[in-house]
Amino acid sequence: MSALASLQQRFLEGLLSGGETAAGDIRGTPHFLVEQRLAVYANAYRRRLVEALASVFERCACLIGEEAFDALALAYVEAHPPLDRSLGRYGIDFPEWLRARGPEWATAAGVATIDGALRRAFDAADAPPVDRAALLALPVAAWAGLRFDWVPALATGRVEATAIERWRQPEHGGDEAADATMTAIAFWRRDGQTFFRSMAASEALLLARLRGGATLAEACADELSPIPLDVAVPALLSWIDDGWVAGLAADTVAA
Amino acid sequence: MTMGTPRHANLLQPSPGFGLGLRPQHYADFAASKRDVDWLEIISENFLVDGGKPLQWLDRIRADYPMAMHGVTLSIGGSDPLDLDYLKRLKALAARVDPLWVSDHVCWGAHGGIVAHDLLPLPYTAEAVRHVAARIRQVQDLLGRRLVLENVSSYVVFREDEMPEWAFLDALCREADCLLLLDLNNVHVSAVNHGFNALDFLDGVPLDRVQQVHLAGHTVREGYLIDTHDAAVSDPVWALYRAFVARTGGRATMIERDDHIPPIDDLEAELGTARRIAADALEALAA
Repeated sequence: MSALASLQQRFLEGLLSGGETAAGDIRGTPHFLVEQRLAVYANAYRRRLVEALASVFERCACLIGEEAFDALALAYVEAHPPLDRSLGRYGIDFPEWLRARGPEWATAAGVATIDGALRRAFDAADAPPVDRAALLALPVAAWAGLRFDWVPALATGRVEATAIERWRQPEHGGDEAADATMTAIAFWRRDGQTFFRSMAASEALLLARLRGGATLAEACADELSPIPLDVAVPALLSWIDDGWVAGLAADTVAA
Repeated sequence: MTMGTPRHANLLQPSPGFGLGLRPQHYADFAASKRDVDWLEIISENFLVDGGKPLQWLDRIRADYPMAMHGVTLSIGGSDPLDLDYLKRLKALAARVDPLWVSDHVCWGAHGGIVAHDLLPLPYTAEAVRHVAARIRQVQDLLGRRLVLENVSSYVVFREDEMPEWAFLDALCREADCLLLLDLNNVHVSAVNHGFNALDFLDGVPLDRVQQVHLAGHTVREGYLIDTHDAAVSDPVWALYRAFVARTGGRATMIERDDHIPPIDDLEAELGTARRIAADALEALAA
């Protein structure tokens, strides 16, 4: 290892630990001591990452309060040195980390899950959605063989049932008993705005099958858990209206 | 006013005048009407995204303003291999923006795969000059353009330093054939923190390679300064700017605010101060 790399190793170790492993490399002055100099960097590192987490997980921070969030975020930062050049992607597993701290954090973890997913939808790749006319232009007989392309901003997840309401009104606090029931949820972006909504189990199942590459007929006709057409078709139309679908491809088009 | 012609004009892009850092708080202002701002500097990393509104704003505002790209995570002084994926995305962004120039910092910010998200100080040694210059040349080859590199504020002096910062920057420019972004606030902060004369810095760096100037504010602590970029430009930094213009005739100048972002009108007024000081310095030079 070069002298430069060794120095950087010591400096970074001190930065991450908050210690003074690089103190022997530094000259201090009476008005600005070595430990003060190193502390400027160590404090800036922590402050910047805590601020990045507070920016991405804004509603979660609002829900649990700035002071409590900062303490939590700092604990996360101490255990998770950033590996990505994007500060916006730092803390991608913060919601799971929060969830793992115990059931009292479940609602906050759910709110953080929503915050994080919306942030990723915000700057996901662009793709023009198809409109309802594109679907209706196809003969009905072709619908069974349809496969779908999805806009990159579409994502799904599961959050604590109490988290959805708390995300909408985080300033009301999170002192209600956490509901451990998990709800399927979809996130997307339309015209630059991000959205999310919960999904019924049947809708979430249909969407998962279609995103897995099944045709509409295959997704509906699963032997163990079939999905009736009167559920599938309205769901499909609402997805198209919300801009989730980027393309339609018919396996076989009936004459 | 007209900026002076640098001695080595062929090295530098012509000055676009007086600019501001483009921040999300001001996207709507710049899109709504033409401001009294000659050019804008974007933070490259803010636009290294796949899609969405940031890139829409970028394209819309770029239609009305020349832009320079300013990065913060190149880690040109790091010991990890250069991040080729980052450079590829940076080059793609440059193709989209067609920037005046591409800049980053004389620092390191990542080691062992960990990204500190800070502009960490380099020791000023001959070994570091060779190491950083080689990486600058590699990046310049990849990007197909000269890199513009900024002096950072620093809070430490390494025992192994073999030269002052200005000599380090001079050696780097000569060995890598790169250009400088002179942040005068950073010069002042480091001068106070390390006890050198900021004018020695100005006289030591290769001024003919200064493509751009940053002006910014800082926070005063007992015994030292912190480069917070969250306040108006201070009087000592204005004085340094006046001295810089007197020595060079002026270069592309920009006010950089990263926190406590004021309304755009306030920053325009501050930019007016820069214009006035530069005009006064040039007038004194001509007298």
